[in-house]
Amino acid sequence: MPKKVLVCDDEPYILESVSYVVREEGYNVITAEDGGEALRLAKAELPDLILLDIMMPTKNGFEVCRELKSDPATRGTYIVLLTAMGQERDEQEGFQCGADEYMTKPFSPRNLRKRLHELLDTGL
Amino acid sequence: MTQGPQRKDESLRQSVQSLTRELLTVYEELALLYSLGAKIGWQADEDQIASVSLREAMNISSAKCGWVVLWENETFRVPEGCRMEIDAGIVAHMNKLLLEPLHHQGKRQVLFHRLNEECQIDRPDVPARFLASCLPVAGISRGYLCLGRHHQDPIFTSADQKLINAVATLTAVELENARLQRSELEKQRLANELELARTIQQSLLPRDFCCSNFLEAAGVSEPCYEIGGDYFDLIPLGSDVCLLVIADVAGKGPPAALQAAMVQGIVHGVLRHSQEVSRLMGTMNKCILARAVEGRFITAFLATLDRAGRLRYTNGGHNPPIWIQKNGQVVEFSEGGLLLGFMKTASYPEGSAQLEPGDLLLLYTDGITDAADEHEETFGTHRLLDWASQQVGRPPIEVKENLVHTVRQFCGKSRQADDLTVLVIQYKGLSRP
Repeated sequence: MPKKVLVCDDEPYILESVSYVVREEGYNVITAEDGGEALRLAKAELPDLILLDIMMPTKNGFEVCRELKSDPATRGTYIVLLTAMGQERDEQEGFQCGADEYMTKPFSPRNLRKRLHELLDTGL
Repeated sequence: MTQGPQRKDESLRQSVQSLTRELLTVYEELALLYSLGAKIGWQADEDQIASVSLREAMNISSAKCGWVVLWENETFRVPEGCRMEIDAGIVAHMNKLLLEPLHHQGKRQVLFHRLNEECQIDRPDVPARFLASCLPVAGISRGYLCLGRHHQDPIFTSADQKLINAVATLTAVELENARLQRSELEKQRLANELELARTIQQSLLPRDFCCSNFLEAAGVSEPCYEIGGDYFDLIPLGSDVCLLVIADVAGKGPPAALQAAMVQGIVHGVLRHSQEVSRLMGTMNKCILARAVEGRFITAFLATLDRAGRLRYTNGGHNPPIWIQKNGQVVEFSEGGLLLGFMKTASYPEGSAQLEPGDLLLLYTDGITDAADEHEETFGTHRLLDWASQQVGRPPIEVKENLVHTVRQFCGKSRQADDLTVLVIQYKGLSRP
């Protein structure tokens, strides 16, 4: 059974391109275009990994992250926050919300592929 | 024939996929340039920049070997840490045989899929796939970023070429930035050293003009650059005699300044043997000839003034000093010989004058008479003599400042072209200490 990845971003072209890379690497993809949807899907689908944008409508990435990390059912889900280059302040806040790691945009598809395999195939 | 809805969907899906792939390539390039920029932007050392870029380029292109070669002083140099997974001999060989001719042709990119066969390089250890991108600065290549893959590896694609081109261009910009920064620091260092040299040179000039109570003096030396080749001195020889010196070394800047310091040393040295001005000048001439650099001459004027107002002088090719008498007469001291450092047998006849209290002596260098205005007309001796006739009986400090001011005003906006030195002495009379 392929691992499941939830990709959350309100920018359709980022959502599409990240999903494309994840799908190409052989994982199942579910997508969300806002924070509320991301939270709902994360709880309902229990993905193995969440790629989470910060600036999103309804709930931002920090809020989603905080809620997931405080819920025993989703606490263990590995969360990678997607942040714009140079927003170091966001990183600080993200780690306080319990995010597991960061990836800066524009992201390198090559690095994303590599990291997906490291996280999903060698055990989180 | 119309397309069915299924074919339309499929075609749309393919378009989206193709666009996404393109978008991902752009992401890859952007991410690379961001990360490379962040890594090398902090490097101040050119070799470090080249080394970081090489690692990044190898990583992104999955190259098996690589090197960076910079074109410096008409030859190729592989900087420290800029050769990876390849033998130094092969790199030198390829630089010489392959890259150097291409560099001279202005080739921006070099690509071979089967290097051995295509270039007939008969070495088993050369990489089969070879990609080199020039490091361009203002349209001129500073060298190449070279990457290699083995025979069993995929060829370098056009996407690889584009990516490596971008890395090479960014690297070249950063290399140029570092070079400019280094040259700016070097300029700053030189400027600091010259400033120090200026302080030292100014400290060699007399600061205390009250060396004898029978005369009053004021002087200034303003080099054209930070330091210059003019020198003046006021040396008491006991309590009743004072030696007046002014000298000008041909040329400007540090070389002239070094020689001016040498002249000062010689003056103080030869004073131990004689205090007669013509003998002094003769000995100075020989000393200068013994140490002089060919073609660099020195002009000098020496005079002794005693408490009784007797002036003995001689001139080694220097602008004749001006005697501004209290009675209004203005006279040039014309007695003398050839400039110093020109002929070993040169003789320096002595002239003399009897000064009256209140008489002024004006010693100066050609920076005064050769000072030119915006139309390149020089201040000249006639203007100087006219001006001198209006200075009768004035205190030396006023005379000095007035002359510098007058010359500056004459020059207007035109730049000072030569070192400028003035020494003004006023004979005060017989009074005892």
